Amino acid sequence: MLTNRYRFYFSRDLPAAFISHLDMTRLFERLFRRLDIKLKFTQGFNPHPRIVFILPMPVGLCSKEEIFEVECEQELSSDIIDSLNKILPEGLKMLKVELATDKIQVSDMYYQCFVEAEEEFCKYFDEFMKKSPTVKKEKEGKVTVKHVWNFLLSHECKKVDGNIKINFHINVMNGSYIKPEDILREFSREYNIECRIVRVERVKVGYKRVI
Amino acid sequence: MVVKDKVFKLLYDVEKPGRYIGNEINIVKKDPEKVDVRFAICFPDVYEIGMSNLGLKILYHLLNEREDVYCERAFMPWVDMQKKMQEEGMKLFSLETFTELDEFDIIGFSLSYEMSYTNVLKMLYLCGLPLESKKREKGMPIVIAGGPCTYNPEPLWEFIDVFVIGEGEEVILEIIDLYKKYKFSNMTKEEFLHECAGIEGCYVPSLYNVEYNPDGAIKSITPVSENVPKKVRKRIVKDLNTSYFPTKMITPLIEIVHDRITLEIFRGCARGCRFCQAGIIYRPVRFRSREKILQYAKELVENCGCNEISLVSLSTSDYPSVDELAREILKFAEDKKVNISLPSLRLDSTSLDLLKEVEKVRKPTLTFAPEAGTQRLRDVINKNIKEEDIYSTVKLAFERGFQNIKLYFMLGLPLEKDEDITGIYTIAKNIREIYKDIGLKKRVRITVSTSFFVPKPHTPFQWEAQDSIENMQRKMKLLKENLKRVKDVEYSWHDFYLSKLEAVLSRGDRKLSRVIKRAVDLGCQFDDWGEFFDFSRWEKAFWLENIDWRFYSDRKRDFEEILPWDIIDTGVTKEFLKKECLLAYEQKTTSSCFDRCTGCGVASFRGGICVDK
Repeated sequence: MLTNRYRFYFSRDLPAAFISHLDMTRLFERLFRRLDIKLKFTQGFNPHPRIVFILPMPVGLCSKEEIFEVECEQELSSDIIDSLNKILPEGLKMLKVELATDKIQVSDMYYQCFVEAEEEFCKYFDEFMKKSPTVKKEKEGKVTVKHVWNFLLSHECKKVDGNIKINFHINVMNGSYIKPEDILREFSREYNIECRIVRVERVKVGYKRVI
Repeated sequence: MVVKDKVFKLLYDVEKPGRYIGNEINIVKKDPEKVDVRFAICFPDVYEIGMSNLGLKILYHLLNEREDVYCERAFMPWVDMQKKMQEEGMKLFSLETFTELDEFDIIGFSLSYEMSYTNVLKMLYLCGLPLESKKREKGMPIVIAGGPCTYNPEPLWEFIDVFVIGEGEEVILEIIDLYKKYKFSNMTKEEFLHECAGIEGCYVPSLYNVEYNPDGAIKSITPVSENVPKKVRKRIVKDLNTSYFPTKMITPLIEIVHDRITLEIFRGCARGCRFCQAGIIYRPVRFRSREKILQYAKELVENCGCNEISLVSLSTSDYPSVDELAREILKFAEDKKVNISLPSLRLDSTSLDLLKEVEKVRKPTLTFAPEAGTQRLRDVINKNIKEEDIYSTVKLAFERGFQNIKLYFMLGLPLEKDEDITGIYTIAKNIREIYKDIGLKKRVRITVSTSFFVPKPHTPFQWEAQDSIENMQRKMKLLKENLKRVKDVEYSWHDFYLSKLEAVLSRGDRKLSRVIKRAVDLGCQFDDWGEFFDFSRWEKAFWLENIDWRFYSDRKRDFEEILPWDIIDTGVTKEFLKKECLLAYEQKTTSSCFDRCTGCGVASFRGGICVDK
């Protein structure tokens, strides 16, 4: 069956990076309404449009390329990208749109994180990473432990213009992955080294088609 | 580093960083270098509350219509952000250009509730400005304030240069014009303030001397010179069809308290409930025409994109043919998947039909506000709602599938007896029985909420004493014990001490300014937020200033006493308020302005329904 399901590619930077996931959904609903584009709504007691972000974006995260999919009641014309870009708040930019005829999943992601920390940061961080660290997360009383190297493909720590820049290449398995911020926090706790995150960015996201 | 970058760096470690980024839909962008006057509108509470305030948004866009003015916004940062800002030595900043507030020409506070007074002072501290008006010299911002609280401006008199009384749409522009004269000449601040006092609606507290009697009541309020008016008359906008209303309205990126388009359909209220301040100060009733409302509704939906539009007023059922209006809006809203909400609707069978038809996303709860438990007491307060009407509407609502009913009452009203309190229990019990009689399977939920009566300035009850804390406790317990006997009823009550402080501040005089400053120094802020409110700190502040707060809350005044807010003229005469108070004592009601003129005095403004008839 042919549906008007569209896949939008966009980038996000400051200040829009501080918008939460739920607020992003509401924002796009409003933007489409302003452009008089009719979205397909769910049935039921409290209908809402189906805007689905392939990856959730934590508050504060910048990204060079993200994807959301949305089902419309109508066909979209090619100038939709320009129309959206004219009304988007600062920090958001639409890159391209395509008909979503298949399903995709995220396979891997490249991150770069900038932190303010002491001179020797990288030395200690590399040492920490060699010890096959884990990240503990507590949610509603349930503790989950993730082994960093189960998800991490590689990392690199170096000094750039007074800040520390750490690159991570992260593997995503069935939608499950590890957040670089959590690795940094764990390190900070274990080594008692203060590190203040000043920017987190997804530089590249890899996708694979699923059948 | 510029302020903006500094701010963004802090946002990784604070709650809801979206509060501090500005950048909203329809935000106004200008070059600050190219304007004569930079105006910062300040709301003394968090972003989500401030951005829900319609008055703030009207003034924001109105001021920005002028090419020579750039109006920006600032809100009270949450405690985590305050801490970070202090650590970094940062001042309060605006959301448009991230400019520190002490660089602005005019700072304008919106005063919506007394419990935000400590936040006003805290914000001035965060601006790095002296709190006291007299310590701020030319070159520092002029601090003005507007909003309903300014109908008794005295508790903040020391800190605010100019209070703007009434509706701000016109007077604010006159203040800007005068400010420009002041800024670009060698006019002194004192001369500016004197000239400002000549603008109708401007109250400059430093130009009045207040003397007191030995018993603490006011002996006299005297202007310092002949050019300063003896009374300050509020300003109104005469015609809502020609007055300014923004339809390219700023729309937040994060969820706020009232996360929807708000469209004002009329101002004022004709009902005259005797406890209600809004019912007096916003008189006369002025309707916006249906054509205008429809036009604005369309434009707002197009420009904001929200999924809900709310038609607001003090008493929506009083708008002529409100059902037809709602249906016409529905015609285009439905297609765009925009829901209509109609708050402050008088509930009866017609309005239930209307709600069913227009509110596509149905609210699960129906709310009634009988305010008092017996007809006798409802007559005292002139709340024109009959018990039989509540029951018939509730029955209808149950049959239509509503299972949640909310009932609002006030405890501690003048002339209240214990029968009135048990009357609340009777209403709750009867409602539950109506539900049982219908024989529905699901459980009903009846929520009874009580607040404590707070006597407000410019109301017929302005002379009344508030109940003592002990009495409040006793009455709350009496009701609680009674309601325990009814199944499916939940009872919640408002904090005694919060109501007490509200009563003290709302009828306070100039002596309270020192107390408020003490309270801030003792750490009081966000008093309206349960987790921060601490009455013991306030008690300490009163004690340090040697003031008994009971003098303000628990004392009944004589009709002859000079009241701190007598300086403000709302158009409604003191004689009318007194007459209404005496009618209350006799349990006699007064009709609404729609039936006949009650002679309150506001007709002197020659606006709205006072002249339409």
